[in-house]
Amino acid sequence: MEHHYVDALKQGDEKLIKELYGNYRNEFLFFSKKYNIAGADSLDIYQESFLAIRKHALSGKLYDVNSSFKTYLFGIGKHLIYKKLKEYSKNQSYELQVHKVDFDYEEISIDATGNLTKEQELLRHYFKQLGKSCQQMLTLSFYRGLTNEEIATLKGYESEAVVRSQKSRCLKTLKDLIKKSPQI
Amino acid sequence: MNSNELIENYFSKNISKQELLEFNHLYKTNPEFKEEVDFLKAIKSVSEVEDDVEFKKQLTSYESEYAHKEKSIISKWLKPLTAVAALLIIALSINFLINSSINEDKLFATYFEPSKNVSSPIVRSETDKTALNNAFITYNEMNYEQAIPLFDNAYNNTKNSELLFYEGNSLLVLGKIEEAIEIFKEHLTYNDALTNRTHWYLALAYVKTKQLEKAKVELKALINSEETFKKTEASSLLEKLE
Repeated sequence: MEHHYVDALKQGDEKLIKELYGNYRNEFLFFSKKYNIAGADSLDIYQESFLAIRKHALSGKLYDVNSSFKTYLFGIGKHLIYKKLKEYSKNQSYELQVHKVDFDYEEISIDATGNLTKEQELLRHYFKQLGKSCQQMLTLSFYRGLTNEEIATLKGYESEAVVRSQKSRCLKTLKDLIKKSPQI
Repeated sequence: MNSNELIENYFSKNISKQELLEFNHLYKTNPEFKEEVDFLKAIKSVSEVEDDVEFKKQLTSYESEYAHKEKSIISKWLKPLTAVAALLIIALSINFLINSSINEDKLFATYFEPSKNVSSPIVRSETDKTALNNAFITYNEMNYEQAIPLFDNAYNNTKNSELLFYEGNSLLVLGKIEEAIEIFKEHLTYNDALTNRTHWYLALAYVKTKQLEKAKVELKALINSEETFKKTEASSLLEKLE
């Protein structure tokens, strides 16, 4: 896949992401129309596909994928379209095979995101009380798995040590918020 | 290898086989270690969900542009906008020529005044002698030197993050800029009603210590936030710095 697109998703390059989003939007809406997906659902599916391709980019596995960004995006989209069609068919009898769409993209399956447990929902409540920079710091460290050096480079911190101390400051604040609360 | 490094390598997936064995061993045998790792794993799940929400918001924000069919609007406004932009560039470059040297002390003095107490109404009574009330009375009477330890204590006892804002302000008045910067940074780890205002005071502290790039970052954070406080001043100060 085009490495610079994967990099843009990984690094949150808003300009390029916006451009990518715009490039394929109308074509995708047209594509899902062929499957008789309702307009509002199409848009939702397009955004979900974008979210999923970003997740795959973040995990690093897109670099080794041979297909283009567009083919992959539409492949995920197709998977979600099938899912939506199954949902439709629960409400009324609906034949998947009715759609003989010949020009097409290979379907790409994605994992459904797990729901948070009760405790995690509570933690999320406190997490959102952190300042934006702390939320970002913890996201980069733990979800994205960036090293302190990588965070320093990405966010322009002076050194790895500055990241380390800022991170521990954020964790301390989060723990204080939890301790302070009467619920736990 | 200490346990912090092990944890960092674990989450950044840079962990060797040997380290992973050590990690798993600690996880099984050391309850404190396990608790910390479980906490961080929970943060991982939570931040993933929040990260997705943020990204979805970003995508949705692009949609508003399509919804307004703004193409026609753009072309309609393009000419006058270009004219305005050109004028702005001329005005800014003249401004730049006049103000090409920046006097940080003067800027600080022009823009800085300590914040009013917007958090806690003061009760002057014989009975209400809480530490917090005293801190605010002292602050309002401009006894900043005395107010600092009072806020510090009250903050340590209540963990009310807004108090950091006033402690930082007091330090700024007294010219203890480096200490003020530390306090403001700590305040920015929280998200309370005054957090965005702290960007303003932290920016001024950076101006005073001639760290202009950092000052700009803070000013932009304030300007991009929903906070209306000092927004005009922030824009004009940012212009002067740039």
